[in-house]
Amino acid sequence: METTTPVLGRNPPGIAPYTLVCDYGSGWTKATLFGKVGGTPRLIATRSVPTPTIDGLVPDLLAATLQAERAIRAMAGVPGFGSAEGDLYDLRAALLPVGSCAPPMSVVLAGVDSKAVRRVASQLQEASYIREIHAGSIADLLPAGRLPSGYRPDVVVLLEGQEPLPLAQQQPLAQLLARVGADTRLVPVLHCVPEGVESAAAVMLGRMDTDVVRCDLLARPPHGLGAVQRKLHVQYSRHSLWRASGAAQLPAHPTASFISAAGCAMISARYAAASGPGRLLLLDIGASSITVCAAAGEDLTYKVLSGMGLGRGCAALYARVGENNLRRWLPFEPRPDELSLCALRRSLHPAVQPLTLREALVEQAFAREAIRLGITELAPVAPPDLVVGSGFLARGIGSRAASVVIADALSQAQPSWRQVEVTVDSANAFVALGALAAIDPELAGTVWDRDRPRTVTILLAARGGKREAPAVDVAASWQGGSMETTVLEGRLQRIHGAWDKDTSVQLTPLRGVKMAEARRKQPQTIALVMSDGNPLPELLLDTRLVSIRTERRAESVARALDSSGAYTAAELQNL
Amino acid sequence: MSTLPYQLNCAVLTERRLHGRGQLRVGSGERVEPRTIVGTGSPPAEPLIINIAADLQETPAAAAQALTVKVGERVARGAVLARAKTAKSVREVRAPESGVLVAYDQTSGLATLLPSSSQVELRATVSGTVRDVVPGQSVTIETRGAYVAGVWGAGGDAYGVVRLATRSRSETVAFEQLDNHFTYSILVTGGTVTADTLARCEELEVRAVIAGGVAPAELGRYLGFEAGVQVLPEALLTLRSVRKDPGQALLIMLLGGFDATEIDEAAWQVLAACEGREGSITSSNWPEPPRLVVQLPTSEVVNAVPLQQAVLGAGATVLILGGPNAQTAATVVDGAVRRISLPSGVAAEAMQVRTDSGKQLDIPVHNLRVIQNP
Repeated sequence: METTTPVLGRNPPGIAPYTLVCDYGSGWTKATLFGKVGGTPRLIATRSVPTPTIDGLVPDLLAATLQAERAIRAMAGVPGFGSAEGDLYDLRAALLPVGSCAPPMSVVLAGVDSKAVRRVASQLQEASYIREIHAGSIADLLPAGRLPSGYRPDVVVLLEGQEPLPLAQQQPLAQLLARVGADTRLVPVLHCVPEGVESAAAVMLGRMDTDVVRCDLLARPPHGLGAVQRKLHVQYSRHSLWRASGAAQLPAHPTASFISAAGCAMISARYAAASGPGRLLLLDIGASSITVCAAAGEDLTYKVLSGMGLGRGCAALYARVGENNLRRWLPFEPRPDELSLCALRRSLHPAVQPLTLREALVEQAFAREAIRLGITELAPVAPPDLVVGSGFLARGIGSRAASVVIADALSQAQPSWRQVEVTVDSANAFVALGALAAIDPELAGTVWDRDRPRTVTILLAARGGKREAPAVDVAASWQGGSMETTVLEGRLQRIHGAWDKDTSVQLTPLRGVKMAEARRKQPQTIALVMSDGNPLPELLLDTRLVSIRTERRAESVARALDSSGAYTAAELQNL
Repeated sequence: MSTLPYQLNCAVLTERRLHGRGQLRVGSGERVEPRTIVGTGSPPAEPLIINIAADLQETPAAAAQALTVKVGERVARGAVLARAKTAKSVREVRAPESGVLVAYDQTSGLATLLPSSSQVELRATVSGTVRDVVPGQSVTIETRGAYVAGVWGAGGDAYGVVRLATRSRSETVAFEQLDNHFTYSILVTGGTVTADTLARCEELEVRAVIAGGVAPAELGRYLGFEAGVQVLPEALLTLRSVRKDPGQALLIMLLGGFDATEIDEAAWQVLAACEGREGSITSSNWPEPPRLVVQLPTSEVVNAVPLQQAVLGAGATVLILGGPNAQTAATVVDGAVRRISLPSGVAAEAMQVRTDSGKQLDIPVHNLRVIQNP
């Protein structure tokens, strides 16, 4: 497994006896324990706990670590740090922190040479630790309205060209720095000066928190921009630690970089694509970020939508996708303000779980739109062979419901994609193994081959053709279960009867038929594959909702639900 | 590890930090009020560019000869920077601000003057006693009294006398009832707050409003949104100030949330104990929760303890978040955690709680907000 993320201040420890990857999210902290089982390195257990905060504000990393470690130790059945049985491992040495709790940075990129500014901006936009870049020449950035009112970037990158900054540019630069820093705080400045050029801006920057990088920004990668990227990564680490005050109490990592969670997931995605299905799409719906990553062989494209998600970022997600796009996924008419209040509630209380079916459906509507938005924002990609759901899709709902959510979103975002295989990363293995790869790629590869997420054996197709087509074809295949074809047919007919009369169901047993062939013959098929006797009716119920939600009004859905008897009358009344 | 949101008889620590270089003016053990200036800082100043050559009507090289101040020297405001004599007159360029002449460009004739930094005053914002001083950086002030944390707030900082505008925690104040009694106060109202009430508060120069909740539409109406125009949740959460008139500043602090309809009992008791006392509210930008700190007389604060951490266990009073019983207070029954399947289909770790009406419910532990420890 390859590594692309630099890790500072940590020597590769291998895995012995344990390595605990803690992925500190703004909503949940995911802990994954690696260790040797019978002499073989394995992923032993994974647990997640809500990220504790200090006064509801900053993630308390120490508390998060201890809670997650306690939970995972109980699950794995191993004595651990500070336990009565004695320490089996030193938590401080074993801990590998992954930081997704700190939001990516907001950057102002200013310079004189517009060519260099454009070049640097286009490359930095890809960095997962950067939320947004306001780039331009100093003169461009100064006029009122060019930067948002009260805008406070996390870092200013100042690019000096081959010639020293002209004096005439100094005052505008000073104005720009004063504006973004105002009198509230010092904004770190990354001052990029070419080799051999005496900086003219140094005088005014002398009073700022300045980090000077000597580089040739127009040189080909990895020269030139590499130095800037490394410095920005360090800046991001400081930024993370600054926001996460508990980190100061973790003596093993007072200055170490938090590895970017998105970066870790991407390492795994690339490895998985290269060693497995060929084309892979990773959908990570977090509490305050949405990461979509497409990997095909060595190629990797991704998009991180930060500040948006199903927790703290829910209000931002609502603002971005709009009320109408959310409503279309609901089999009932939401009350006025219901969706916006839900967004506000989730933003204020990110770890709260839906108690009623109605709340769960609203939450899933947000998840569908998060996926749709992420895929739409991603550059055009070829249809994937495997879609991996992570974050909310792996932990917030069951795997079947997650598959339905993914299929729905794909059908809107990429209607031309016919069929995809879906799995959910419930063990947070993509991030955890990516983190392990950052310190020991070979070891991570070994663990990956044994403990990678298995397909949840559900194959769902984003239906081809128009959404309003009334016919729904169902093809099913199962192995190892005891269900007879006739029983299956009977259940399908029962559900068929509950559907609108224009809707038809065709059962096509796929036993012994190659799935690829079935896909070719029936491109508009929703195919369900169960390898271990999964409860089919429930699966079909979910599938039915996929089809109906977008094309039928609430009345017909309610009728269908009622006829199927899947929900109680009280539940229906609550819808 | 969150602190309990409502506490009496506690010692609250507030850190005030200088921005940039500066000097602190208070020492350990000193008493301060919200308006006390605890230090002055000097944020980086904005350099000034002066076109010496153009002002003297000389070439850049000739203007360089006319400089009366060397690069690196300090000049006072109004002091002569350059002087050129002609047959008929003497032309001078004076320093617009006090500062240091840091550069002169021979090719353009431009000089850079770095003004002396302006002083920014750092106020205590709370009443209390200085407990810790880090020279040149920060002071920590201890306030003994009451502490109330909200879930959302906007409007910066405010201080004033706490005044209850309603008799109960669920009663919504009618704006017609508000009079000059509430001027410059921190007004506490049960129930929710309306656009009309906020407008009246602004008129009366009320400094802050504490309420259980506010409907987004009402807040939007107060902020000037047209009827029917939806206020986006994100816009509410990131609201920096709640003021219609730029000359006025009104702070809002919600204890329940946007859909809450009342203040819970524990919070109301603490607020009632603060009636008539001067308090300070800090409400920075979301997601930082707002907080009210009130200093109480020594006779009322005996053996004040540091802010307590919330403990979710048997006997704890909790607030249920979300679901049909949202914002309902309940008591944790036995503190045992059980794995349950919710009606939503989600599997969760839950605790059994009993509401005031005697209803026993299994609620996920993440949906419980502890407001009183066992």
